[in-house]
Amino acid sequence: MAKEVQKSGGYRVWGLLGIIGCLVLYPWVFRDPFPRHVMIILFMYIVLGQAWNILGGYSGQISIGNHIFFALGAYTSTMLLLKVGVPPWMGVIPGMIIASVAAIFIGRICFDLRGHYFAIATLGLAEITYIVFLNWNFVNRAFGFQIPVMKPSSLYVQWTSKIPYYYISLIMAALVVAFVWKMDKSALGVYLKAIKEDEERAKSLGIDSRRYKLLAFVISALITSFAGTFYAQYVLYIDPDSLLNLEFALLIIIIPMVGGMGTVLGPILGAGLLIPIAEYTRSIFGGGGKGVHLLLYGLIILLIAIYEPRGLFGIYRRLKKRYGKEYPLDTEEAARPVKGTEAV
Amino acid sequence: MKFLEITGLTKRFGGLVAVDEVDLIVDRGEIVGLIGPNGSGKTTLFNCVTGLYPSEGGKILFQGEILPDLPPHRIAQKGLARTFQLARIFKDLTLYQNMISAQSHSRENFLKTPTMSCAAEICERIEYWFEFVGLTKLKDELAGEVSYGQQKLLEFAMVLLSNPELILLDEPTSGVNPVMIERIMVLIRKLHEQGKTLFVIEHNMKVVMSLCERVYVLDYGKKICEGTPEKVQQDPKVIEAYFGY
Repeated sequence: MAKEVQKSGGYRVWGLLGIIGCLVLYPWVFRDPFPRHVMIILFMYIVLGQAWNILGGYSGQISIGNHIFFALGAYTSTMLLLKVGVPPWMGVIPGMIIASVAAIFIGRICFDLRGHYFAIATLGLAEITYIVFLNWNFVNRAFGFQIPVMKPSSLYVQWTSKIPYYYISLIMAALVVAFVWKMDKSALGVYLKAIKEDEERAKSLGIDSRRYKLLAFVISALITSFAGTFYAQYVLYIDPDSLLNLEFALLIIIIPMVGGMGTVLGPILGAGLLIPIAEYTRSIFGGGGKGVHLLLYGLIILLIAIYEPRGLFGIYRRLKKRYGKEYPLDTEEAARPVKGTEAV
Repeated sequence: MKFLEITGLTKRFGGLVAVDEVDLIVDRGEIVGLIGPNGSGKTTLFNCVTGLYPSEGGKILFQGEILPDLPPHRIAQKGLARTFQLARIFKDLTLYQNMISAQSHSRENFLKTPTMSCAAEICERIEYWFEFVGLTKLKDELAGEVSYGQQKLLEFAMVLLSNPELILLDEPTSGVNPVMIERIMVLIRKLHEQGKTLFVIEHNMKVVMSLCERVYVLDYGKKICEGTPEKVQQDPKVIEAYFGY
């Protein structure tokens, strides 16, 4: 048995290297900007979904306000660039600091609320933020900011080709996935899952649930804010309607939900299914097909809710159970009563 | 200074007085029993001590510290651990992860939690306690998939991992087959030998009589009797509470 496990471990390493290799070579195979653009957006949504997953999937605190941090990151770096001339790769850090302060502030208030009330409170805060940004002169109200096109340079994180954006987003996604993969097995991952299942019990074991939820929220905000700066530099235009609208907020949540909440693979699978649908229907149907992807999303959510509430990850697990010989789970041995427990 | 001292503890749910001016003392190294008919306020008393319910009157002193001022996780960190009437373990986590969730939580390690699971020394202790309760082979199974008796043992091991000073056991033998009851009693005795203090709610009189040195009896939230098991068994008030007139 041990040998087989080792072998399957080997397959996994090679499989992972293969996938990484394909992703690294992808922009050299697909030379049109559009397939590259789809992948860049895909990576960004993996990051956003994964960041949401840390709080929502693991600890069960459904935040409908994660896009606030995205907007904070985008606005901070852009305004620093336009008003003070700070290059975005430096501006990303104040953005992350502001986002984490906002997360601590929101968390301190909202983590006293349980379950749906937390979701409602964050939704309310998100809508308030939207209205404030629409009417606040300091952030140029509904007009938002346009980042002027400059000479391509790494200093101002602007290039004519999509390849640098592609690799930045790929690395960003890889790092975030690696972090969540590590966290999944760490004490924090265990505490968050424990809080999700039975918060009262977790407390009576000495887990300070508020602190750990807050930590998860801050990590989530840091990652989301970073992605916000990246997005601003990529599309060069930010306004409240594109960053703070509800559809965007829900998409961040739908990705891990469809993929599988509280799993490392979930947001990757979810983004991998949903983002290409959005991007390709947009390009096929053009302006007339504005809502086609939402129709398809509705259908997918319906099917997932009926047939596999654990999401695509659940389907993956079922398939593995049926066809995979990767994990020779010695069920008979596990089911047998343990020596010593039955008699003293 | 007493180890655990409860004076005049009162807890109401609306008009119902669940715990009514109860005084009791647990000394270090004792096994103290808490018995009484259903609904007499035993579990409520435990919930007040561990901070899950705010108490409305009276004092709870644990090693000289006033407990009700602290949130439940701080009380647990003070070395006061408990089990629940129906084993409350995390069913979606593996047995091993359940143990990790029960390691003692210190503020210094707070920022390390996203990257590490447990310090080497604690991992060793987890193995030790698994061995102690006999669950080593099952440690990678989901806790929801092992038998109820094994879940009880797991909860036991979780409580022991944090090395508590005082262990509150809420019906450790309920819903468990007779063989497992034997096993649990042996564990409790072993802990007693190691110098732990135990405070046990129990319905199984055989268990109470053979384990406990002193017993408190509650009825309708009031303490009606205290003393050695033999004395309590013969007290007319206790017999009345259990069997009526």
